Amino acid sequence: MTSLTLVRRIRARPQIVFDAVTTAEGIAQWWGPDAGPVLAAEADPRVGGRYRVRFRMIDSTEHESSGEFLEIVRPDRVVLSWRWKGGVEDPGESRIEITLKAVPEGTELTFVHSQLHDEETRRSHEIGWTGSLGKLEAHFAAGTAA
Amino acid sequence: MKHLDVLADAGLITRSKSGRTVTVRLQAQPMREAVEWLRRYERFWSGSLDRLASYAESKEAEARRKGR
Repeated sequence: MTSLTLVRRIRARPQIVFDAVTTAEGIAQWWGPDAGPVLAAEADPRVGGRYRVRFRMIDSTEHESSGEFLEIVRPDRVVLSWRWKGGVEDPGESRIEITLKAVPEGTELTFVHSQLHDEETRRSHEIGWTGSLGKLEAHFAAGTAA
Repeated sequence: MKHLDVLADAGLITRSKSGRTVTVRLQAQPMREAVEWLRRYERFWSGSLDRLASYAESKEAEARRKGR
């Protein structure tokens, strides 16, 4: 399972960081890899609630991702599911886990984005099955010919 | 052999047997895909978290000015 972990120290108390991460108003201020704008942000920060973010990058391409709040414990922890809209490059669902810890200067934020294991398993199974069925087919084809 | 099973399940190696010899080959493609995935999201989230940090720090400054 592939996962990415990033840690940031932020000079703000955990409650403020938590609200910046979980509210539509907050998300609209920072989501996206470059200085391009967030075009739309919606968030319903409770377990089972959904979020959706649409943003434009400085190369003028637009992207949208959405998912569900899986766990939400203010101001310590939030877990989200994540999926690109029309994601050709990365069609699977992944998981984002953000943990906030109070430290003297403010907050230590630990961010983990992981590919869902199920998705990977499903994909590799699919490849495995396709391979096996191909062989089976070849076997029967050979049998018929003989 | 247990370690090799783990690698085989992850699609990182393939094995073939000839008599008493088992040949294990490294499959680079799944590793390459994982590295590409990491690179793509590292760029995405580094940029986002930098902006999140500046935004939260400005909100913190604002809260302090208001004496909260």
